[in-house]
Amino acid sequence: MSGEQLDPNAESVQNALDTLVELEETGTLDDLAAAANVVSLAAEAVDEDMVRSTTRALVHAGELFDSAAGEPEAIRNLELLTAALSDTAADPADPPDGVGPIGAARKLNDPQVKRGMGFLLTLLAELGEQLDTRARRYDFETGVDEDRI
Amino acid sequence: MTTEIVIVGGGVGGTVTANRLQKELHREVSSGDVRIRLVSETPYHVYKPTFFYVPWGEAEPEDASRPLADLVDRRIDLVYDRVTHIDTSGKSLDLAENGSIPYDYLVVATGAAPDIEGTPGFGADGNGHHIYDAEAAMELRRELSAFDSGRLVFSVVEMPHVCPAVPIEFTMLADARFRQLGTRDDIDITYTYPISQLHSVDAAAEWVEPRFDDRGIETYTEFAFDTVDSDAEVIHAADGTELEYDLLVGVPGFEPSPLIAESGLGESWMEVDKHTLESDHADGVFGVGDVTNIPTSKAGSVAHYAAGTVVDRVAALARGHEPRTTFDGDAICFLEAGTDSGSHMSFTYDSEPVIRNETEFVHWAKLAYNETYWLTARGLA
Repeated sequence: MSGEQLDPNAESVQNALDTLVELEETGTLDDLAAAANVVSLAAEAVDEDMVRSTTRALVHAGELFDSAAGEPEAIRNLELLTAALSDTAADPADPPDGVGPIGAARKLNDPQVKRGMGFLLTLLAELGEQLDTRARRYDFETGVDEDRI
Repeated sequence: MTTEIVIVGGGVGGTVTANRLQKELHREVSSGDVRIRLVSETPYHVYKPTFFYVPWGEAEPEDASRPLADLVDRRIDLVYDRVTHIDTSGKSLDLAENGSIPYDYLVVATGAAPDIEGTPGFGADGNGHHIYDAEAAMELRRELSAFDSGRLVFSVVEMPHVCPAVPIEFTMLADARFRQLGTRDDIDITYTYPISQLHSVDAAAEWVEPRFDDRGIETYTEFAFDTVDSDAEVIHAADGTELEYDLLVGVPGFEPSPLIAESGLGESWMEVDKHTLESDHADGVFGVGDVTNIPTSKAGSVAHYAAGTVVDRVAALARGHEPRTTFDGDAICFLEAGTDSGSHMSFTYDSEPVIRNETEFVHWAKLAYNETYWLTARGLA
């Protein structure tokens, strides 16, 4: 099209004019012109390193979110830990009293502490299993999870 | 009874397929109804477009590679081994080191490998350079750093080749870089292409012609390599043309893994239905990416979009449904026009691309995409 004489009656020209008139009448054209100034500013202010480094940071965050999104159970457990953390020493000016060896032994009889200990011991067992699994996936020498073949 | 899904190949097509299958079938995998395995000869995933930037010092070879275990969902079993044979009647794979594994559905994504030794001027006896592995890209970096006069010839020697934009992008980037360095007046740039136009995609050929003219880039079409005299630094074309060079850079021929022909999945490239991506020769076997014979470019974006179709079809079959999703040949490629502007082209089997004038924003988009690729590999984008 470039370099050719525009036909004012051409359908494409009429459609473009109609769109322009509608944008003008609705005030959108002014908004677009204002937005274009921001785009122009970005074009002058941004350089390649900014694009690369910002994108790289977003990608790392995206990978983290992707992992989290694939682990809804982990998110529930994180929420559990968050709730427990919120209720533990909620007042920073009033931390819990210290506990000595005898007090700690007595606390272990508390049913809620027992439940929490169960959670933590299960977590430790799962942690061990996941460490083994991860080690197998990164074992590039043998290169195979033999249990799964 | 567990449905066994096996993906062969840890490149773009294989990794994206595996991760998206896991996202799609996560309930079935959790319950043990489905198992997904990815078999890769190497434990690393390599994003080869990064090598394009290595000769110019804008990326290091290490930037191109990450452990597959970093990218592949932890619930997908990784097997680092070489597949030696696919038994499509018995539905199993033979591995070089670890016996055999069965499959109900198989996705073959073994890619296309450069045939360096089979390409005149580029093998061990030649001095042609390419960018299709880390070592070669670094070697070209060393050559370019000392190259300040003479004739650079960029040649597409054989087709098909991977990443359709590379010939145009490399040539225009070389022009821009030499101008920045002040050496362009002392360097002639020549571009050769084996068919009767400057690029196999018509719109790309039309787009690049005036741009090469403006930049003073000499071009030869229908330039078929016959032999290369590396000592004299002369390319002898099939039609008798002789072209001297001081630095030869090019796109070699590409070929599929011999596994395809040996397993009866195609005489050369894997033969599949271009819409369903199912093998023409075996039930329950799909092809993704460069390994297939689908009539479009061998580009990462094609592998990415095709993976979506294969995931939908395999997931439907694993659930006992009739698959409906089909592939229309979607492809999108950036076209860098030097160091600070770029354009893009998108096309399908039935639609030709429209390539717009280059802009700085599209150049940035390409830089940004090179970073976000790692999210794509995880099956996100």
